[in-house]
Formats: sequence, C-alpha cells, structure tokens
Amino acid sequence: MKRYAVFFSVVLLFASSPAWAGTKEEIIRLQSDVLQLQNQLRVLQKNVEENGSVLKTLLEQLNDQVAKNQVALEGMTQGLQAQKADVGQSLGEVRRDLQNLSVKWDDTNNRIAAIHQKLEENQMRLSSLREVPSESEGAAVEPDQIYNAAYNDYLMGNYDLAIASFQDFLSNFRDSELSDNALYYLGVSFQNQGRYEQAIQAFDQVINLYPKGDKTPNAHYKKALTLQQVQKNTEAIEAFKKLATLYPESQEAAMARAELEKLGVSLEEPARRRR
Amino acid sequence: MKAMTRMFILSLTLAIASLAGLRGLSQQPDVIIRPRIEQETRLAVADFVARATANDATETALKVFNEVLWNDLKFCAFFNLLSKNFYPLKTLRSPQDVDFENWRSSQLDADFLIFGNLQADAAAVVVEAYLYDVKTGQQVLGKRYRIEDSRLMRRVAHEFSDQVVYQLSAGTSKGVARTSIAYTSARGGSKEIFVTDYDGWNARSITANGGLNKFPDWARDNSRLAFVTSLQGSGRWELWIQNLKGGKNVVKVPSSFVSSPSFSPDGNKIAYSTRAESANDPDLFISDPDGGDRRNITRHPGIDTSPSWSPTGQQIAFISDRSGTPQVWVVDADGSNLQRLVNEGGHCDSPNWSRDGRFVAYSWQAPTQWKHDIYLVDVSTGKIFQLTSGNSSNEHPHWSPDGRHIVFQSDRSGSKQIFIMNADGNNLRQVTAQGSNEGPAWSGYAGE
Repeated sequence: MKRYAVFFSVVLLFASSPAWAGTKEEIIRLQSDVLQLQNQLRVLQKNVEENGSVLKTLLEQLNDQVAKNQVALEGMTQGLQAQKADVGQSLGEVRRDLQNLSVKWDDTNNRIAAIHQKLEENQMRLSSLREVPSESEGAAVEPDQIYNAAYNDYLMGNYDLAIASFQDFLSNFRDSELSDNALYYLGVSFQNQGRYEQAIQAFDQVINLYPKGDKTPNAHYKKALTLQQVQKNTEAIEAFKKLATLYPESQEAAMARAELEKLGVSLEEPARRRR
Repeated sequence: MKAMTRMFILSLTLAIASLAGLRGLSQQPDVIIRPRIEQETRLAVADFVARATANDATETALKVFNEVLWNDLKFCAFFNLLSKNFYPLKTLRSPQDVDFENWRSSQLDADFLIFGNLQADAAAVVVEAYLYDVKTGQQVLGKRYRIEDSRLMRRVAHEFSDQVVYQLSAGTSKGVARTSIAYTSARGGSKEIFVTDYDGWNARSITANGGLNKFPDWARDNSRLAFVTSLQGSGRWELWIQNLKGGKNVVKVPSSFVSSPSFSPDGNKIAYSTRAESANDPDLFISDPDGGDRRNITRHPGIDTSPSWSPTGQQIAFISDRSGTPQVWVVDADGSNLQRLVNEGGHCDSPNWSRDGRFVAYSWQAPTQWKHDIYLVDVSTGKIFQLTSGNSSNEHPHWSPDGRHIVFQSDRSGSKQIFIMNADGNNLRQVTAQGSNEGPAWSGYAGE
C-alpha cells in the first residue's frame, strides 16, 4: 500500500509541475521510460494471456467436472434425493466459482486498461514535450537537445520515434545549423523502414537546400543506394555520377567511383559527349 | 498477476521517481543506467537449508549455492541486499515457514524474500527455490532444480539469480549470471584464448596452438568466437572463427596483417582491420564470416583499427589516427558519413558500443600520462564520462549484454587481470587472478 501511495504522489508531483521545462536528459529518459513501459506492458499482456490460458484450462476442467457430475447423476438409478441435492449444490459452487473467476478477469482487464491509460498519458506528455513552447516563460528547449534526442532514437533503431522527432525538429528549427543533418537522418530512418520514396525525398531536400552542407555528399550517396534498392538503376548511376562530379574530394565520391567501376560505367564519357 | 502488476508499478515509480529526483537535484546526472542502479528494491536472501537430513554432500552443496546466489544478486546491481544479521531467526524451509510480518518489520522492511531448501543424496541434488513478495505474501517464483552432477551447483544458483533479476526487473534484464567472458591469457611464451564464467569460475582454454591468439569477440548468440592468430614461426596473422560446438574456419584476408575482429549484431558479417593489397596502412573491412563479399569501408592513408558495431548494425565506431593521434571515429557500415566522436588529443583505444546505442566505451591515455582509463562518450551529445581513475592502467572495455556492466583489463593488482564493474564505474569485481590476462569480451545470451 505504501508503494501505491508513493507512486501516486510521485505521479501527482509529476503532473502538477508547471510548464514542463524539458531538458534533453529528461526527454531521453522519458523516451526510454516509454520504451520500458511498452516492454513492461508487453510482459503484462503476456501474463494476461497466460492467465487467460490458465482460466481456459480451469473452465475446461470445470466443464469436465460438470459433465462428470451429470454422468454420475444419470448413473444414479436409485435417484436418491439427498444425492441430487448434493450435485445441485456442487453445480451451484461451480457457478459461483465461475462468477468469481469472471470477476477476477474483469479486475485484470481493468488494471490493464489503467496501465494503458497511464502509458497513453506518458506518450501524450512526451509529445507535448516535443512541441516546443513558443513563448512560454519557462526555460526554452535548446534545438540541439531535441536534435540529440531524435538522433539517439535513430542510434537505438527506434525509427518511428526518430522520424517523428526529426520532423518536429525541422518544423520548429528550420533555420538551425543542424537542419541538414536532421533531414539527412530523417532520410536514413525512412530508408531503414523501407519507406524508400520518402527517403529519396529527404535526401533530395538535403541536396537542393544545402549544397554546401557537410551531409550533402552523404545524401547523394545514400540516395544512390536507395535508388538501387528500388531497382531504379539508371537513376542510381546518375546519382553516383553527380556525387563524383560535384564532390570529387569526398570519401563518398571515392566510393561512388568504385561503385561505378563495378557497374562498368565510365564517369568521363557522357560528360564529354555533351560538350 | 498481482506480483507482476506490483512490479510494474514499482518500476514505473522508480522511473518517475528518478525523473522527479533529477528535476530537483540537477547535480547528479552523470551516467544513468536504466533502470537506475539505485538499489531501490530491498531484497532479503535467507540461506537455503537442508530439506531433510543434513549430510556432507548436502552441506557442501548448500555452501556453494548460498555463496554463489548471494554474489550474483549483489553484483547484478538491481537490489539492496539486506544484511543477514537482521533476519528473523526462524529457519525457512518452505513457504509455510514464513511469517511475513517479521520480514516487514521496520528494521528489515524487505520488499522481496528469497529462501529455499536443498537435499543431496547419492543420485542427485534437488533444490527448491522461492521468491516471495513480502508486502503481499504472494509467491513470485517457485523453482525446483534436479542435478545429477554436483559440479553444476554454481550453474543452478546462476540460473535462479537470472530468473529473479528477470522477474524483478519486469523483463528489462535477463541477468548476467550465466554469461561468459572471453580473454587472452599469456601462458609461457604463447597467448591463448580462454573463456570463463562471468564470475571467474570455470575457466577453460579455447585455443592451445602455442602461438599468439588475441582479440576475441563473440557472436551474440555465443555460437562462435572470432580472434586473430599468429602461429609460431609463420610471421603472419590470420583471422579465425572458432565454432564453440567444434570446427573452425580461417577467414580469407588480403594481407599478412589482421586485427580486432568484430561480429555484426546479426552475426552475418564481420568487421576487422587489415591492409588492402595495394596499401601500407590498415583499413577497416567488412566481409561475410567466410571472407566473401569483402568491402573496404575506410579507404584512408591513416591507420584504422578496432571496429565495434552499433546495436542496429548501421554504424561502426573505430580508432583512426587520421587527425594526428588515435581518436574515436564513427562511420556508416556502408563506408559513408564519417564523423569524429572523440577529439581529445592523447591516445584512444578499443571503442565498444553499448547495446542500447547510447554510449561508446573506450580507453584513453591523456597526453601527459602513461596510463589508460575507461571513459564513456554519449554518442548523441558527445559528452564524456570518466569511469576509472587511480595509478593503474585500465583498458579494453566491453559491455555486458544487459548494458549494465563493463568488463575491462587492469594492472591494479600488479599483473594484467580482468575486472568487471557497473557501467557507472562502481561495484568493482576481479574476475581473473592467475598469470597475465587481457583483451576481455563479454558474451551475449545463448540462443539470442
């Protein structure tokens, strides 16, 4: 009981605190908490399923018992009243047990629902944390904190979260120095999810909006790889060529040249022909 | 069900309490290990007792079981293990012996209680082990183990410890009590690969070829060990993959130098440092475990070594001296998107990426010092945390599979030995003591 009290008071403290001045650590921790909550929910759901199967077995056993009782009843050719009363009573008990079980089952369901609600509340808090307070008086959330949280999700392979966070970052801090990085990792996150069209769009934005950005050669390279993944090989070759021509000194250009060589494509010829 | 709900709420409380605590006290951020190593759960572990008649075999088995279980639960860093001095005197053999009121007393205030019994006879040892929620009086775990070889006593204690950790962490950790550590051990003139239980027991040799065998790395399912070998008189290094169920293959590499292999998280690729045919400097290469589909991912005149995969297999942290001194860099596994992760001068070595992707552990020798220490860098922020200090040299960190501990080598006891600690630098425990041992790698979970 003490635990529950602590729990609720902490939740109250948590909920009533003014203007969530989210810091980077808190965002990351909240995300990791939500992940943990999801894990725990999974464990709980598994448990409920197990309980369900136990319940099912119990019900089956009860059914068997009822059936047995009925057989016994039929077998009692003497038809003794007392025995009939006994059987009736035990059937009543079985029914009562069943009722008890269903009450427990409801109880379990209620708890799950409560936990679901808690999880949703936490997720709402998380998303409201991401919505940067525009002119609230609390400490402003630094753009790089949002960016780092998103990048952290990318590192952990939580691509759904990473995509949502990078998009939030871009809609709030489009002018940030990290915008090209955010777009680039948005693209890579899409790519990892197999959402290739969106990935290519993101890489194109890096290429078109930040021609001098440090992620631009990478964006060319990843765009070419993504095009290969969707069998657009002609376009992929074009992307490799563009990379090799525009950023010849970059590491990515060296890899593009190697790839073109592997594909048997010469870098020089088409350019000369055009001249 | 109730116990699980309670645990859920407990850990939720822990998680939120840690957040709330941080809001008030911002001076304590350092390295946070999730769930926090706050030792919030108060766990009482009563000595297991003989079930029926005490005999020598039972006494011996009890001694081993009680000691191993206690040490496992202490090291796992999830619990505040309550001192046995305050336990009620009544012997606990089975659940009906427990008077929960005594265990709830203000002096003890245990959250959970472990107890059980053990009986050895000529044929087998049988252990009955219980975990009870003291507050509700409900059973969380009840296990019965039967072993016919008393040498497996430690194994049984490890297994029960892992079960307890798994239950009470609500599935966050599978525990590390049954994991292993591979390392290089100097034996006479040779260096052989050894594997030991995580607590230093049951050390056994994997190689015995009399040559130099170094840099072991596990496939995450513990099926294989990769390492490099230089057989006596050969003058060249080879990359070997030893199947632990028997058989080995030698990975084809392009030169007589190869170093620091690392399995990808899915075990389908291996990264290592070797010289390309035309180059004088080592680059990072990735290939299939048979050497096929080999790709150079660094292509740079600098020296590139010590690859370690990120948990998604998307990136590789490594050491490169391309900026002048050996520093930690990160590159995508396809060779693009190179970035410097640590830029502190001095000399970095042996990066190892945590299982949750957040941190890279590495060793660093400051420009003015002769010794290394273990550090973590937060990959997204670049923030650096120091884990070891003192006069000895601490090197070659490697994460435990649950991400709560780090194994490393240290010469703090005189010779080079293997140590383990929490990922926040506390809770040090020595693993090896004989000879000279280095380059540890913590196993994964079998079958993962």
